[in-house]
Amino acid sequence: MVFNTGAALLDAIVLAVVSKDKEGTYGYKITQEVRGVLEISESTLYPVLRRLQKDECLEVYDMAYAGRNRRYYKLTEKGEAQLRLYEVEWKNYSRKISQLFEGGL
Amino acid sequence: MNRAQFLEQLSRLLSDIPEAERREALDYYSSYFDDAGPENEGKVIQELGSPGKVAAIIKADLQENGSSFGEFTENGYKDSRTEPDGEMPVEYESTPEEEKERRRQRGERWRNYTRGDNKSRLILAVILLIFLAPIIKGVLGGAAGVLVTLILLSFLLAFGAGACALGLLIAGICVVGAGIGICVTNPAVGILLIGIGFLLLTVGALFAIATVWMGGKAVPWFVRKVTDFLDRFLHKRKGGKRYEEI
Repeated sequence: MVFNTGAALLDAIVLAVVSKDKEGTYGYKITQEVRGVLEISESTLYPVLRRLQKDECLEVYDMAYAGRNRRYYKLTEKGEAQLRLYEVEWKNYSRKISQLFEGGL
Repeated sequence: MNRAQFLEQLSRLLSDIPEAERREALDYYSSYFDDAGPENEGKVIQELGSPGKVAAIIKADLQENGSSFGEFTENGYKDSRTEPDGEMPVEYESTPEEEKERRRQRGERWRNYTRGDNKSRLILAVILLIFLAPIIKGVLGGAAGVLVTLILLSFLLAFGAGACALGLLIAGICVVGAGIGICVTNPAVGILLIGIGFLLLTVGALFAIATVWMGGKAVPWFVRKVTDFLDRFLHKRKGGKRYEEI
C-alpha cells in the first residue's frame, strides 16, 4: 500500500469493523477483517483495541466458546458517536481529494 | 518457534509493564492463537513477527497513553512526532523484498571491494595488525620466539660449519707445510705430518661443502617454509577463505 494509515483512520476502521457485529466480535476476526481492506501487520491491532477500550469507545465481555473464554469487543455509545464523527470527516476528506484528482473543484 | 515459546518470550519481554496490561496482552494473544486454530499457528507467528516486535508495539502504545501521534503502517509502528510532517510519508518505504534485494547488492559491493582492491586490502591488513598487535604479541609471542630461534639456529649452524671449514683448511695447509719442512730433517715425521695435514684438509673440505649446502639451500628453504606458514596463518586470520562463502 502506498498510503500510510494514521492512528485516527485505523481507529475509525476498527470501530467500523466492530460495529458490523451487533453482538460484538473478537480479536482474531477483527484483525482478519481489517486486513481485508488494509495491509497491516497483525501485531498492530492489539494496541489499537486496547486504546479504544481505555478511551471507552469499546467495551469488552467474556463469553464461553469451545471450552474457553473468548473476549468480545463491542461499541459503546461513545464509540458509536466517535465512529459517526470519523465517517463524516472521512467523507469530506476523501471527497476533496477525489475531486482534486479528478480535476473537479 | 511455536505458540508456547512465542507467548513465553512475550511474557518475559513484557515483565516491565503493569501486571494488568501484561495479563491483558497475553490473554489476547493466547485467544488469538486459539481462534486462528492450530493449523494456522505457524502463519500467525510469522505474521505477528518476533515477540520482541509485538512487545515493542505494545510498550510504545502504553507510553503514548492513548494519544494519536503514532502511525501504523504495514512496516510497523511510526511516531509522527519524530518526523517533520506526520501525515506525509517522508520517505519511500521499501517492502521487505526490496530491502532484501538492497542488502544483497550491498553484500555484492562489499565482496567486490574486498576482492578487487589490493591496496585497500593491504591497508586493512595493516590496520588489523596494529589493532591486533597486543593480542598477537601475547598469544603469538611464544610461537614467534620459537620460530626466530629456529631461524637464528639454522644461520648459526651454517656459520659454525663455515668457521670449522675455514679453520680446518688453514690448519691442514699449515700442517702440510710444516710436514714438508720437517721432511728435510726427519722424513718419517714429515710424511706423517703431511698425511695429517691432508686429512685435516679433507675434513675441512667436507665442512666447506656442508656450509655451501646449508647457506645456499637448507637455510633459504627453512626460511621459506617459516614465512609460508606465517603467510597462510595470517591469511586465515584475515578470513581469506570466508570471502568465498559470501
